[in-house]
Amino acid sequence: MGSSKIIRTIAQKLFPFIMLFGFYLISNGHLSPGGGFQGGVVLGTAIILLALSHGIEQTEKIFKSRWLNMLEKLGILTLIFLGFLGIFFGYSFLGNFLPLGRPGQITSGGLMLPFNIAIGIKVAAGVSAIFYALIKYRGEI
Amino acid sequence: MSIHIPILIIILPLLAAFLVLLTRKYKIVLAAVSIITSIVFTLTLSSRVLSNDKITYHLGGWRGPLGVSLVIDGLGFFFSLIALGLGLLVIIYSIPEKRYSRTYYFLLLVSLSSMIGVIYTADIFNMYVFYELLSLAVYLLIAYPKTGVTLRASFSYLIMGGVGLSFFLLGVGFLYAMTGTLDIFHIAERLPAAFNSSMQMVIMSFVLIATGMGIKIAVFPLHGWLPDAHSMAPSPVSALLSGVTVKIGIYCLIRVVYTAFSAEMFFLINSHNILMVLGVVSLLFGASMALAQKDLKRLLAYSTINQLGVVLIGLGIGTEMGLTGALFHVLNHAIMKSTLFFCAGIMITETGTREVKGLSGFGRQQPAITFAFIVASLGMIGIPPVNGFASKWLICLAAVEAGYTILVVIILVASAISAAYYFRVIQVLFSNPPEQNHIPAHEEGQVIHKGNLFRVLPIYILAAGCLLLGIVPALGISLAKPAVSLLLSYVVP
Repeated sequence: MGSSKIIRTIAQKLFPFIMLFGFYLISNGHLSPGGGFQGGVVLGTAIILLALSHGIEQTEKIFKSRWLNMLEKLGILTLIFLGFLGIFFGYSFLGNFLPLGRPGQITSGGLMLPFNIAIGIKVAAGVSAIFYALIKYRGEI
Repeated sequence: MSIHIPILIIILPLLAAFLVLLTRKYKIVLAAVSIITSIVFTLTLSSRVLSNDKITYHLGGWRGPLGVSLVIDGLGFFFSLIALGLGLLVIIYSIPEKRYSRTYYFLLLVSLSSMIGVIYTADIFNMYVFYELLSLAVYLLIAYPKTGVTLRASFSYLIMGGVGLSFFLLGVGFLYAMTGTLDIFHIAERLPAAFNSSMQMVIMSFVLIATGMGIKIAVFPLHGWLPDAHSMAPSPVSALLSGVTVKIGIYCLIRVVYTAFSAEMFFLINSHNILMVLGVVSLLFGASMALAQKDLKRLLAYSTINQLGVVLIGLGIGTEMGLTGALFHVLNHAIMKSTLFFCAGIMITETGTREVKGLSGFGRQQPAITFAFIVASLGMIGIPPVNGFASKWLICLAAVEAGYTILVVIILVASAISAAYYFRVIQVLFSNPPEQNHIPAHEEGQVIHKGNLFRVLPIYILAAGCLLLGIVPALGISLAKPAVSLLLSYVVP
């Protein structure tokens, strides 16, 4: 995939800002519009943008598909583990065991912040892994 | 810890599913252990459930109507036991096949855990989500061999199933618009008031949900996906599909029709007549289509449509005996049909062909498997010492008592037709093989040693179950009893 130098440079410069926006959406999911899924998709599109502009081989050197697959499973396992923690702390499954804090603060959602982070990791890794698979196995089957 | 059992039954297979993806060696152990643990957990609840107790668990500590809660009652217990038991046998049956990688076990565990989720949840939207998860896993399981026919079968099921679940979701949306809650038990409380003000909306939501579930159960005009999907899937998956997955559709129908649309509404909108008519049509259609099939697994798939018609007739009659018969037939059909599909898997492996004609001589090579096949097919027809007879007998009795004598005639005619197609297979099994050396080629391209214990053990267990439930039907009926009394308590307030 040979993109022009302009596209490659712009994509490279945009990449950190898109990532930052993704992290913002994930971490503020319980306070403002956004959340784990939306932020995760934004993170995933950042990787897809790199893959489109720089070619899949270049991108795979940094974001290895093995690691992405591993992260995806890790995300869901974290989610289930957090659910179990609710049982261990004496509440029910998925019960909130963290302090609630003052409304409006970043720590005010209790368990929602770790949930959103786990979901965000899973979705980001999942979206980019799906994109890798679509590119790599194009034309097969 | 004991109060957390309902969620543990669902979450352990799900946790194991994702752990299976991380390991290569222990995938089977992990899958089997998680399912066995779930079965043990379910059985610990049996004494409370069988004494008509209701176990409720609030997820995250949020009570209904706001939160999602899990409810285990007689009906849920009955269906979850079928799902988990057959799921374990399917996993055991899959062990010798080396081609099944960890993805296969992952999908199997996800589908099993979401089945239990559908059964236990009391939140109707959550039911939709779990059902969609179950369907996604099943689409992938059907397409697992990645050949052209399986992909096509899976894709047509994907389209049909997607449409069906969209109908279900739309019906749920109507219910939510009318009652303002998604909890089934709260919907049941608020729906009579909604029925008085806007009757059309209630009928509309019932029609949408019944149509959506009708696609999943494959009643006659909506059955298009079933013969392909059930016959092209790998044999253990076929057993799971025919034995359990369609039963989940029946469970949803029962749960929504009897619990949410309670009591008078069930008879006001004549939904019992609708179920009965659909049952009769798919009974006759399934039987006559199975008669025309040359492919063994396709024949079994059409036979599923036939037997589900019997279940729908029992549900439509709606008396105590009819419901007992219908639920007992659900259990019986799950056992018999998975026996048949397991046997069919071995037959196709050994003879190298899917055609009924090609099975000649198999009965002499492997008498034990053939015996199990004959036992299960006698049950399908409804011949006394086997379990299928008991449930069909109950449904016929209920039909006579309720004054629908014509239904008995129809069920008997369909049984005669199914006798015709099953006896044709049995006759071929014992005929002399033609003199030629055909190379055994497996349906997935691999020959499995015929004495493999893991292959035959599930078949023996299930065939023994057929005979046991046929000789002592009280066992199965006592299991279905709490469910029936629960359903009747909704009908007669």
